[in-house]
Amino acid sequence: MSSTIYRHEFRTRLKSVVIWSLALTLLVVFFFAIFPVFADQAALMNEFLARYPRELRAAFGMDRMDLATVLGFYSFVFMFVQLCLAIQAANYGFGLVSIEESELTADFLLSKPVSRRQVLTSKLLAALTSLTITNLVVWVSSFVAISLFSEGRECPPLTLLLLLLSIVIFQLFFFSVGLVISLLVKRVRSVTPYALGLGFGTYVLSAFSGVFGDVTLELITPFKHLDAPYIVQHAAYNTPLVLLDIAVTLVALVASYWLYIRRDIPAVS
Amino acid sequence: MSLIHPTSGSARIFGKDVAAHGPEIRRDMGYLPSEVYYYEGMKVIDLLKYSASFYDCDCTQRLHELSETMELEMNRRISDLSYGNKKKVGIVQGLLHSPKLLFLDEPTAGLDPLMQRKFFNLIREENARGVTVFFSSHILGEVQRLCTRVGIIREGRIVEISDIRTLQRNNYKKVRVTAERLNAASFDLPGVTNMQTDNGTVHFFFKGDINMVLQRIGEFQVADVTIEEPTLEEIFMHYYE
Repeated sequence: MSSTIYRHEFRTRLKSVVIWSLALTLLVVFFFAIFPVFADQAALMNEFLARYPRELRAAFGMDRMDLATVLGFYSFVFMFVQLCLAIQAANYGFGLVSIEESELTADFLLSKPVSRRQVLTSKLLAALTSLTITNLVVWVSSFVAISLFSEGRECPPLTLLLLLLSIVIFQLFFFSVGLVISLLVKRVRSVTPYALGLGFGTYVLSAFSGVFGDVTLELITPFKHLDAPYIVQHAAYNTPLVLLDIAVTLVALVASYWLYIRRDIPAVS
Repeated sequence: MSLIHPTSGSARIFGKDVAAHGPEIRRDMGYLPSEVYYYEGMKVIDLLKYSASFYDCDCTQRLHELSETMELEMNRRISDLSYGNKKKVGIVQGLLHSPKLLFLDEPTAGLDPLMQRKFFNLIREENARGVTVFFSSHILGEVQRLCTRVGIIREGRIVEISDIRTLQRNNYKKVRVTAERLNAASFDLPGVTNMQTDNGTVHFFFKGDINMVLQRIGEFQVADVTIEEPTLEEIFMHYYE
């Protein structure tokens, strides 16, 4: 661990963290601000939603959530939060070491007296700090939004806590999978398409698996591993899927170290 | 540098294995890549400080000395710098921790002649302090001026390592004689190659006992004569022919 790299990495990502955090705060607060309307006219809303095709509702998980309850509505918001967090985490994961290569600064960094392991650990911790800041911002803005707009309606704190705690696992998954993919391919030219691909791709998979009720798809998308409607309905995680999620994350992290330490940095030019 | 890993064999620097002790070795190594790329958004001073912070020493003074010598503008952004200026950042960055071993890959590209001279002086000073300098360049004139030993690599293999002086001495000589009644047959000696006659002047390359050429020259009424050592460039071309 090199505090020098850690500080540098953290500083370069600071702006992005602020922007993501702001965007997520706005998303949570404004989205949740329409909750009172939903709750007041719950019957009307549910009837209105029932007119949509069943598949569409399934794709958004709306068939399994009651938008008239605080957590039902919050889990609807939470899915969009998850999508943003997925893209952010995947972005950091893909860019973590590949940016040094695409911007040709790897020569500079790796000719310094630090080992590859130290480089990766410092970068990893810096990125995780950034993700944790965003995570905390989501916690705070969720609490604020719920206390502002729930108007005294019932909100089981334990389930809310479960939802918010799932963010860490969720972020780590996208981060580590992004990282390992960036190390498996020869060269990542641009990070954003990869990150968007991974984020949206898994989201769409999860939506499809909602439409078809297909079990196999659930296994590969973390949107299903940590499905907000499921957590709210059962007030618990889907343990086997969460364990699978964590296992994939750990394997990806270990593989990333293994690959990065052995990686040949192509000569510039 | 441990940027790439060996497919076979091993190498030792300062008596330490490069694969096992990379970070330790790199502490005393300075490196200037041929293409300099740095974090575009950073200011020069921030980049240099970042670079310095990797080393145990307090390099601030050396940092400022060097940037003053290289006339570096510290408060500009890396992205605003020209190629030559980036190169200067690279030079300062490679030297600021007073390394014992320096790797310079095409260091003079993009530098104006005045800067090149300053840079050469800097390298000579470092060398006088006992620093080993590896200097790679396509401009063989500067290699000839600066280096003591030269290695020639052809298709990935070292074909020659030797002292520049011995290399020049043991190689052929370039001879040019201007005299009356001269023709190509006048220097019909073993070891003469590349004979060219041009309006009473003969040029040729000679390898062997130079006295034999001098004797022949003595037989003529000579207007002008030069006997030169070949430049490194000519020697280099010789290896590639």
